[in-house]
Amino acid sequence: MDSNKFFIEVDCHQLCEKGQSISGDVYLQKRSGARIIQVLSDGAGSGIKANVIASVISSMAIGYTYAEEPVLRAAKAVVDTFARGEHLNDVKQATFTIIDTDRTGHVKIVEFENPPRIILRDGEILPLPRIEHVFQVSNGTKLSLYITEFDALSEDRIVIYTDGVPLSGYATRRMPFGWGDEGIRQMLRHTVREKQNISASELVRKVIGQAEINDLFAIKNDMSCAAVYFRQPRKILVSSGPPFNAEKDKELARMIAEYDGETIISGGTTAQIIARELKREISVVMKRDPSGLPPVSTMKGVTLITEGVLTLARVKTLLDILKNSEVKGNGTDAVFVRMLLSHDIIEFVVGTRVNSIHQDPNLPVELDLRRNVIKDIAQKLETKFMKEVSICYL
Amino acid sequence: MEKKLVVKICTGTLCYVMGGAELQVIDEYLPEDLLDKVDIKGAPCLEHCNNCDGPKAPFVEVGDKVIAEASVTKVVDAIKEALGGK
Repeated sequence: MDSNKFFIEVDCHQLCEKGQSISGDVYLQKRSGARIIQVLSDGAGSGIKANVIASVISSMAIGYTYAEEPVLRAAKAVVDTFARGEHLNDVKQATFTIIDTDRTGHVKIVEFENPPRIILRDGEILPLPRIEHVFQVSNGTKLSLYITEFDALSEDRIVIYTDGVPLSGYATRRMPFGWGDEGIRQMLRHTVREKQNISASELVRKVIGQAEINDLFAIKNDMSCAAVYFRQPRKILVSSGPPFNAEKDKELARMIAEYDGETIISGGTTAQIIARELKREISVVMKRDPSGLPPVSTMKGVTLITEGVLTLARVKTLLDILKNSEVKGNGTDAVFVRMLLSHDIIEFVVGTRVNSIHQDPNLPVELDLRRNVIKDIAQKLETKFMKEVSICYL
Repeated sequence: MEKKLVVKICTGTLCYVMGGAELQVIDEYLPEDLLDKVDIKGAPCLEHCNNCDGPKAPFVEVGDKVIAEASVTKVVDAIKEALGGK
């Protein structure tokens, strides 16, 4: 395993100003190979106009970054798009923060008019300096861009947000001057120390959740928080289907036994084969499952054993309807999906021996071919949930 | 210690779809005096379904006897028969 290859988890959570139908903050992400570029932009004002401005600014910012345009030239072009008049507020129609990173952990952060980024390492704020670059827009106004470049270590985090977050709580009795950058830093320090492996997803939700409370649940400014979390990837292996050739049964069992991560076996026959090869006992948990699916089984060394095609079909449906990574419920399908979504790398090993009885047209339900259902699941995990997925056929 | 009668209920895909879901909770249908003489287990697959022309799912094994197209009634009767006289 290449120790320089991180898994990079990114997420953004946003809430808009009370009474507005859309946020004036826009967050965009672009992935290309091992590279991930994120942009967070805050459009001047609120509502649709602000959203349009921020949308244009953020797509330009991402486009220029992806094309490796010189930063200052790009910044000038971006700011010039909406600059009108001489007054500074007319020029600064939107803010932006760009985080450009890749799997080796090299990071470049470019900031324009947003609150300063926070870099967390070992439970502390990393006091990395940022370098000011001055650039001039068409009407002669001089503006500042701040650039940070560094190499991330495992477990490093970067947190960025728009000004709605530090401004939250402003003019309330508890925090008359607002939450402030220092208040946010304190909360982040406390949170990552309390839960060292907190995901980027949970972290941004906590920040926005607190900001919403600060505003007494009547949000005064659009607020967004995005985070990047560099860590070692969490792997899971899903084995489903008996190998086409029984000679490969041993190989499949060995893959499960030697896997460096959690394992799921989906399929009764598959589970029996592996239990036989590894000489381990398998026992079915005889109780009704809230999902209505066949019961799960247990075996030493395997995290979860479920039935095959019915369960996989439900997993696929659940992945289709989920709006984010939050999975509710205790049925086997929910447990399965939760397990998949809490890992970064998902490796499917699909045995292609087909049980022809499953294709009997007289059956009361239609059982899709296992390999097709898994292909759909894999595609959803990759495109909707940004997981790294592989399928190998045995 | 008296050896219990082992009843294996297949919880595999085909058996489940063809009625095995009900059989899973067969202990709810057993008369009380039989409950402690029986050890009800599940099996992820009993491998009886592979024959297209043969007996049909769902399958239950009561001791050594294989019951095809199992229903709660059939299985309870088979248990009573197996335990009859004990």
